[in-house]
Amino acid sequence: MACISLYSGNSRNIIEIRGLSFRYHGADRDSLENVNLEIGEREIVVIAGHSGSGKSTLLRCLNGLIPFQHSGTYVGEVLVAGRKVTESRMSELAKSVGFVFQNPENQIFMFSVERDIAFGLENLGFPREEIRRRVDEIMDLLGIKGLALRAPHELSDGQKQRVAIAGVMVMRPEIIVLDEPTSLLDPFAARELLQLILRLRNELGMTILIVEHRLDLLTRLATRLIVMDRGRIMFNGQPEVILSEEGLSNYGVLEPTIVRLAKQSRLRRPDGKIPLNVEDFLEVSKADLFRKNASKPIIPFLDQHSKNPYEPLQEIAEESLGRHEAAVSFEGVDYSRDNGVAALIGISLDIRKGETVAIMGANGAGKSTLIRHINGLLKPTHGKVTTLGVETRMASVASLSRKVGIVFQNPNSQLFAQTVESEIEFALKNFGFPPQAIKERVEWALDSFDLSRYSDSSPMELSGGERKRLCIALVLAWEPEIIILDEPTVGQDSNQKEKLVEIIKMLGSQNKTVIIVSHDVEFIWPLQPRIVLMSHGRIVGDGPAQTVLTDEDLLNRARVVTPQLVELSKAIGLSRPFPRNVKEASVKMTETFEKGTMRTRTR
Amino acid sequence: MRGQSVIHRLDPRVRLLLSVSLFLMSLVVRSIFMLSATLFVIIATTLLARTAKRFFKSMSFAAVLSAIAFVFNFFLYPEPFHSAVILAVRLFAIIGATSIFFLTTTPDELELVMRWFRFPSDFVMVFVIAVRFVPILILDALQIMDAQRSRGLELEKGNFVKRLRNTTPVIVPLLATAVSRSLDLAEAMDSRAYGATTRPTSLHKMTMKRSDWLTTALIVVGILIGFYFNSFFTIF
Repeated sequence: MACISLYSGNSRNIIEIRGLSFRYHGADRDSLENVNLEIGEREIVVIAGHSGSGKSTLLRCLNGLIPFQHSGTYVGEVLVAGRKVTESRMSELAKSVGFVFQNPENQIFMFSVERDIAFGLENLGFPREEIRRRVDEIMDLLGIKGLALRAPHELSDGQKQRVAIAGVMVMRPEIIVLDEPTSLLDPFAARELLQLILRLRNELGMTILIVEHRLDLLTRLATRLIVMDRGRIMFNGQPEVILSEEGLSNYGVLEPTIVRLAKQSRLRRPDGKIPLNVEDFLEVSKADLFRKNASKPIIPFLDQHSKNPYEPLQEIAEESLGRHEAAVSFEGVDYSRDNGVAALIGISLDIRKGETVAIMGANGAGKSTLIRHINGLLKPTHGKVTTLGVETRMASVASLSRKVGIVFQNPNSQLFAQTVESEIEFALKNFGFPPQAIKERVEWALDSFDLSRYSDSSPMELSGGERKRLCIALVLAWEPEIIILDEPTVGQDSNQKEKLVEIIKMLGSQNKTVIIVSHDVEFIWPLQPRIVLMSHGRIVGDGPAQTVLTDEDLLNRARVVTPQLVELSKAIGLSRPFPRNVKEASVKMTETFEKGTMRTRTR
Repeated sequence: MRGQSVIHRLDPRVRLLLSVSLFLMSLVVRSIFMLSATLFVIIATTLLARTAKRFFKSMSFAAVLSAIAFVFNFFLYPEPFHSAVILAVRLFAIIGATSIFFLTTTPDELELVMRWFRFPSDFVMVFVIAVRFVPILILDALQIMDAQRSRGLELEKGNFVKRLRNTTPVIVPLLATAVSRSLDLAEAMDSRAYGATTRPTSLHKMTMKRSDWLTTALIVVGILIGFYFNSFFTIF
C-alpha cells in the first residue's frame, strides 16, 4: 500500500514553529537554527538526521522541556494546539503533548504498571473513578491488561515501551512525540511497536512526531519526512519525494535497502515516485516500466561506474579456514541463572579460528549470556566451554580476556578514566604489558581510530559514536585473538555503521576470529557471515547466511526480521544465491528479467 | 514482598499503629516481666505474619547490637545486674517492633501511607524512585563489573587498599549511569505533569474494613492495659 499523504493543506495546523533558534546554556553553537515548520492534524512525521542534528532538541521544544527544564537562549515561537509554549505551564502542555522517551527503563517510576500509567492523571488531580476508567481503557487498547499489577522489572523492553506509551496516552493528548522509541528494541519488537502506534493513531486520530533512524520500518507509515542537519531543516516533504534525493547518507539518513536498490537501478513506481518497500517494488515490476526499458539498452539497470558489481565483502583468508583449529567450543552447555531460569539449553557450537560469525536472535534469546561464557564471565551449569584450548572453568576471567576481547554494547558502562589515553592503558596495565609496549599500543590505537586529538581529553567529552570507537580501540589495543562485538550497531547512524563494516573486514583479513552479536539483519546480511540463530536459550539455526537468513519460517519463529533483499528476491523471483547488496541485486534483476523469470504479482 | 497473613491484610495504617505501639511500650516499660511480655507480643505478631524466617534474619544484626550494648552496660555499670539485661532486651524489642511494619508493608503501601500523612510530594518521590531503581542500579553495577573484568580487572585480588582502588573503574561508570538515569527521569516526570498540584489524587486507596477498626480497638486496649500494669511492676 502506498503512503497516503495527509498534507496540512486541508487540515488545521496543530503545530506551528516560527523562526525557532535555541542554544543550550554553555554550548558553543546553536542546537536549532531558525527552524520554521507547520504540522497538520493527524500527520505522521518522521524526523531523521545524524546524532547532534537537533532532532531531540526540536521535540523538547514542543512540550516545554525546552525552555522550562533546559535553560538556554531561546528565540522564536512555538505554537502547539493554538497555545504558545513559552506562555503555558508544563502541566498544561502535558495535556496536549505526550512525550515517549528512548529508554524504556527510565520512564517508569511506580511499583506497578497500572499505578505508573495513572501517574499523569494523579498529578493533574483527576478523581479516582475517572483515573480507573481511563487506565483500564488504555490498557485494553494497548493489550497490556494482564500486566496491570506487575512490577516494572518483570517486563520486557517492548512491554515497558507499551507501558510508557499508555502512561502518556492516558492523558489523551492530541500530539504524541517519540524520541527514538525503538532504538533499544530488536527489529521485531520495534516493528510491533511502530505498528501499534500507527493503529492507535488511526483509531484515535493523534498527530505523531517520531525521531527514528530505522526508516525501513517507517516508510510505509509516515506522511512526512523531515531531515535535519546542524540545527536546520534540510528536507521536508513526502517520504517518497525526499527519499528520491541523492546524497541523503551525508545527512546521516540510513536509506532503506529497497530505496537504495531503486536508485541504483533507476526504477520508479508508475506514478514516478520512488518505491519504498517490497509491495511498491512489485508495482514497479508489474508496470510497463520493465517492458518499456527492454527496448532500451540494459545499461540503465546498472550503475555505469561500477566495474565489479560482485565486490567481495568479506575478506576471510580462505586458506586459514582449512586449518580447522577450534577457537571456541561449547559442548552440551546448559546455564541457569541464580533464580533458576534457564538461559542456555543444550548449546553445542564450534567456532574455528579466523571465522566471522554472527549470533542473532531476539532480545532475551540468550546471545549475551552465550558470549559471556567465552571469556569465563559465566561458567556453565552443565557441559563445558573451551576457549583456545583452555577449559573456561579452569581459568580466570582475566587470563581468558587476554585472548578474548569483548566490546560491550554500552560504552558508558566501561569508561571511567581521566583521559582517553589512560582509558586505553587500563587493560594493557592489567594484562602486564611492559611500559614501552603500552606506549606503542596506545599510540597505535589512537591513530587507527582517529582519536589522537582526544588523547588528553576526558572520555566523557566524546560523542556517542566516538565513545563506541574508543571502546573498540581499547579492546584491539591488547590484540586479542578472538574479538566479540556485542550489538555494535545499536544507536549508531549510517556513517558509524559503515565504519564498523570496515573494522570487521579488517579484522577478518588479519585472521582474527570475529563474533558479532546482533539483531540488526540489514547490517549483517551484506557481510554474509556464518549465522548462529538463537531463540529462547537454544540454537535453532547454524549455517551460511544464504541458508539461515532466507528461511522465513525459521526467522519468524525466532522473532527475527527477514532482510529486505531476501524478501524482495523471493517476491520477484530471483534465483539463489540471493544478492548480498544493492549492486548485486541490480545486476540479478536485469538477468532475471531477461530470462523472463521475473515474477510480477498483482495486488 | 507480597505475603499473606492476618497482619498483611490489615490496613497499612493499622499496621503502623501496631508497630508504633509496640515501639512505645518497649521504651516505656520498666520491669523485666513487662519487657518480656512486650517481646512476646512482638514475636507472636511476627509468627502471625508468617515472616519468622525473614524476621530472624534481619534481627541477627539487632541481636549483635544488643549483645554489644549489654557488654558495655555491664562493664560500666555492674550494679544492678538486671539493668544491663533490660537495656539489651529493650534495644532488641525496639528494633523488632519497627521491623514488623517494614517486613509486612510493600513499598506501594508505604507510599500511600506517606501521602496520607501529607509528606511533601518530592520526599515521597525520592523514596519511590530509590526503591524502584536500587535493584536496577545493582544490575548496572554487575554489568559494569563484567565489562571491567573483561579488561583484566581483578576485583577479588590484592590487599584491602588495592581492592579499594580497584573499585574506581566500577564506581565511576555506576555514578555516571545513575546520574544519567536521574536526568531522564526528571524529563519524564515533568512531561507527565509532575507538580501540577500539591495534592495529587491516587488510583489506589486505603480503606478501613471492620477487621481494621476492631484491630485498632484491640491495640488501644492493649496499650491501656500495658500502661496500667506498668505502674505496678516497677522492678520485677
